[in-house]
Amino acid sequence: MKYAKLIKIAFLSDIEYRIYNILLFLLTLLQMFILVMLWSAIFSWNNVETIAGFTLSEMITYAIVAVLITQLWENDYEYNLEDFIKEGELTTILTRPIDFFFYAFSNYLGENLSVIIYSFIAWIIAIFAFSIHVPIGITLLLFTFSLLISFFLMFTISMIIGCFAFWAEDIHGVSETIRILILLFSGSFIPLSFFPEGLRIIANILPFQAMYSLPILIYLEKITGTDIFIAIFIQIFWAIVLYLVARLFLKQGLKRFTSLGG
Amino acid sequence: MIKKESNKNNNIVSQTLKAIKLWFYYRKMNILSAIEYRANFFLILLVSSFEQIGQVLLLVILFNQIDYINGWGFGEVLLLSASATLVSSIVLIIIAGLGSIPYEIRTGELDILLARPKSLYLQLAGSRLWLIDIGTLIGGIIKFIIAIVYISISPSLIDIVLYFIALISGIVILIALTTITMSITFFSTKVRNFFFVLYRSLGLGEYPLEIYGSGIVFLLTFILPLGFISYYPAQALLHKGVYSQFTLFAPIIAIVFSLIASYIWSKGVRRYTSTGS
Repeated sequence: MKYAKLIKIAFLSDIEYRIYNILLFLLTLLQMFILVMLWSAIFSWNNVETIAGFTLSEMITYAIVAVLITQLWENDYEYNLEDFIKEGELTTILTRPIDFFFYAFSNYLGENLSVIIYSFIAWIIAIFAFSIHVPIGITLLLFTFSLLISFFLMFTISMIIGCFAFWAEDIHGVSETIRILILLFSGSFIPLSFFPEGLRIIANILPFQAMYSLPILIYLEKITGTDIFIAIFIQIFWAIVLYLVARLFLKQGLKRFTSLGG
Repeated sequence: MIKKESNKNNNIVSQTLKAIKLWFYYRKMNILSAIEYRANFFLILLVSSFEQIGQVLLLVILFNQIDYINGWGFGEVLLLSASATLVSSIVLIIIAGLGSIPYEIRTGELDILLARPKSLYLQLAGSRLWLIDIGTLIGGIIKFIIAIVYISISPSLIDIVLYFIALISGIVILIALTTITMSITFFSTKVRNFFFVLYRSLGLGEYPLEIYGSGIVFLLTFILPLGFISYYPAQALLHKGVYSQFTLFAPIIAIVFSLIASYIWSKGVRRYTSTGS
């Protein structure tokens, strides 16, 4: 229950910034528009039916769902964690009967709640404005589940990066490195089926495809039948691995933090 | 005391020179303090220039599957992206500190800056330097070179001069837009960082403007002139878009937006000082 309170507090302080959130919402619509125009131009100029197995309408759907997922990810939460650690707020949190991992997760969830609502509205708009594909029934349900795991993965990755603040002066280097890997290997800009064989293999063994590529392909019904369960299994696998890594980092970091803090 | 000094130096040229000197002094300090952590310093430069190379790689992968975006090939689209990167990273190197106005207001730091006998704008702009932006600039230069080599154009001297005029105008325009955006902070008490919103919308300029249709092109030329940070400079070298003649407007747009920005900025500061204390 205390975590529900934490989510509520973070949510309430976030919606104070109404103008900012509305601007972000408009920006999301703008980005969707750019991508629709871009892919329409690409398909009509190259005079093709499909590119790497995607039709124009599938490609537009892919790009829009990717933009919506990016809204959930692009808040640079690792820097909030860095502030917790560097500015001393962590000391206060540690004295309370609260687990820091879940404290931060509640905070993250609360701060993202309005983004989730805005993204949902943007999705509805996209359905009507760009007539994107909508999965129905069980697929939609499985996609939602897959998206939740993706959301959790994003948090654990931020947590791992943020924990570097226990040791390093500055986490920008680590954060940017992970961002490049995500840019290249998550399928956030173009589907992984565009990639040459070698790069695709690398993408498949890295965790980042579980953030974008897998949920979007489930949404598009490019992954069907039992393959959906394999995809979700891969996501859960990475969620557990990254959770354990984040836990380990946090434990070591806190050990150092408390011994230094005295 | 302060008045006497400003009377002595009311010559605009010497004041500008003084401001530039002060700005370089700030940057020297920023770099000296960043280089204290040597490993971190080089890691960030390396990683942030790599990010740009990652973007080149994504374009390569995309253009493996397709030939053109609205008649623009790989090298030409890369030139657009490189121009946008050059302009935005240079702008951020010049005025990165403006992005932290909300923070300075919250912590009361801004009032300290206001009390000092130097321009608030200069102090804010100089106060911060993000190493990422230097790395991005390096990456942008690499992108630019790859694009030029790939297109294998041999532009005339006039084209090159025009490109740099357009690029500098683009820098001035983006500084003006950033200033306007950040001035809003002074008018509202509940504002988070609009900086981020502006810089994310720069993505508009990464593709040929023609794909958006004429209405949006008009918007991006005269109302929110983001076209001048990538599309129009690239036109000076490529001469290919439908709207390439607008490139010549770049300096005019730059002057107009600078005037608007300085007006809104001084209004904003006056408003802040009159409500604040």
